[in-house]
Amino acid sequence: MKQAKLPSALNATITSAVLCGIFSFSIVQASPQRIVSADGALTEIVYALGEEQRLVGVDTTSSYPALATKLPQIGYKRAISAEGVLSLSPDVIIATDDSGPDKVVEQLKAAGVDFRVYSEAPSLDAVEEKIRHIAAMLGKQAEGEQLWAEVKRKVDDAKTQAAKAEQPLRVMFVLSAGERSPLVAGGNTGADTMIRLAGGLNAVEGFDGYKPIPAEALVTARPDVILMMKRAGHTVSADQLFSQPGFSMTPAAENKRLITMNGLKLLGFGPRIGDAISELTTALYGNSEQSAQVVP
Amino acid sequence: MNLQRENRAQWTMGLLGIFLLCTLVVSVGVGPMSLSLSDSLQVAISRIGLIELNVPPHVVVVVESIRMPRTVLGMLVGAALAVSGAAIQGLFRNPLADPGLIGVSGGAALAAVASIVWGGTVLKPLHDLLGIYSLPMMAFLGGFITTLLVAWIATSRFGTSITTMLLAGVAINIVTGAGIGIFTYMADDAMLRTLTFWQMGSLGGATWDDVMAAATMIMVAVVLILRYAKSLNALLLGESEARHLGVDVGRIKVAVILLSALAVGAAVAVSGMIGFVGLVVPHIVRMSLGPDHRYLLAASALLGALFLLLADMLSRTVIAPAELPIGLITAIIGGPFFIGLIVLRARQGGGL
Repeated sequence: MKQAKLPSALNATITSAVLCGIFSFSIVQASPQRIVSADGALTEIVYALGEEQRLVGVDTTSSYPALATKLPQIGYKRAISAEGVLSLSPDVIIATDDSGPDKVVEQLKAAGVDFRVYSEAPSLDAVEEKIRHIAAMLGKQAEGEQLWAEVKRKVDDAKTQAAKAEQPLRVMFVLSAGERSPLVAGGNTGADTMIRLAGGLNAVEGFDGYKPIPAEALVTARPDVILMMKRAGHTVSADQLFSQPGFSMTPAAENKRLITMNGLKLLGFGPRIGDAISELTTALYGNSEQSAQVVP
Repeated sequence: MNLQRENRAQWTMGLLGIFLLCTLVVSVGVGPMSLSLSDSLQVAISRIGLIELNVPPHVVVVVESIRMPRTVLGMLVGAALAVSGAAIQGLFRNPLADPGLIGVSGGAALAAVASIVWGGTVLKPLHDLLGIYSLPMMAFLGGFITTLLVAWIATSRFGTSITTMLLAGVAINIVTGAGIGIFTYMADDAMLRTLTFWQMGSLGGATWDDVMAAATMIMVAVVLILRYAKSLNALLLGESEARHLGVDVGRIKVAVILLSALAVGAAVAVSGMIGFVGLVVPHIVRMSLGPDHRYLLAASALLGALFLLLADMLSRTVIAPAELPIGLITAIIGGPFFIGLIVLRARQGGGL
């Protein structure tokens, strides 16, 4: 397994200390019945463990499964309202370390609500922690282990599959390509982690985060494959993309290699991460043993 | 000044005061959690020590540490923005002027964005020291320092030129805008979201600490601005005329600008960018009470507080349990209302 890429070692220490505290605490406590989730991946985990009836509110990033959007909405995860959340009378609020604003989190804690924070780092380790801890909180340890084992198996399969390729493909994740400079994923992003887990190389080097790059830089990055998100209504077709200056001069243009995937599945770092990696690896290196798993 | 108008002004202020008190009560009683009004008020009153508390503890927490500080902060911020707007419009003798023009909002925004983006790196020592208060502190200092800079640019040995200050304000806003752009480029996704929401304003997460810090600065500034009402009246006639009336024009300019920067800086620091109050509220008051600053300033404070309280009540109930940023509400309600007023005035043959 790859090392988690957290902002700093200190952050990692604090996060794990907090998580350990939460973990031991949850064993003593009765399993919470009313849960508010302020993160899409955490919501997905609760659903994957079959305990969605305990969810009483979710944030706007919780858009999978579609049923979750029918639950009371607490707004965007970084702009939640203290009284709004309290009005749902939750036993526990599950959130990631980027949820907020900080002052609202303080108010919720002051109001006596059990506020549990998980790492939002784009890494497999974080997914493992989230699954294990949520399962423990729900009293579903066995199901949690099973869910994680399933994810792990798919990740390992993808690794085996990718290893059969002659050499790793250079993949460029493009967030948006239009009339202006395309926004692409550099290091320390969810897309970067996913490309590496699927056995590819991130064609973009030299900066962190999602940044616009000039057409020339597209050419020097030499991507073999372009990866984009599938969006309702305005998905870019391969013909459109590779007719754009810059994109037209990449190795990817020769075979028109454009992969589009569901954005939430690809970058959500939830329980579907195993499926997402399998799907990406299969799209990159073709299908050797398994049948294609193209789930929309 | 005729007696009828003075009478009318006093009546209006009295009514505004009563409305404000009623809204204050409703604001503590209304929210996404359905608590009975009597329970909420019981908590509020018991704080003063009049009665014994007899409500569930979660009600106490919601009313005491969420609704009450938020309500008080809303009043303070509304009053600060509206009074500063009225004073700056009077000083510049320009109906389009608002506190943003002297650079205070731009400077505060730039400092806030710097605090968000550099919080974990360059400004880490500051963040470790001040915790969640580092952003408001930075925003306040940014706004204040920028205003000092604008005032310094406009001041020569011939005194402070209002025209130069206007130009300096516009130029500084371009520079702070570019600075925000640079930080936006450096920001990651999480920072970008924080930044976007900060610029839409919110009274959410208000604590008593915020209220205390903001109240000290805002009340001092507002009370002192009110004392310049007569001087601002004299300035309406023109600078040289005011000088002939014995007004120390140079001192008034600097004082009003610094006090406005203090009030707006404190408001922006605790609530983010809430637009429109500083521009629209003084106009509404001027249309109904006339330009006499003795009433204009005080009535603007009352109406500003009332307007922001109402906007905040909408903000936390419209899409509950989520929250609609208050800056959007002030603009969506204030904008069309203001346009309606202008159209009405223009059709009646009057100007602003």
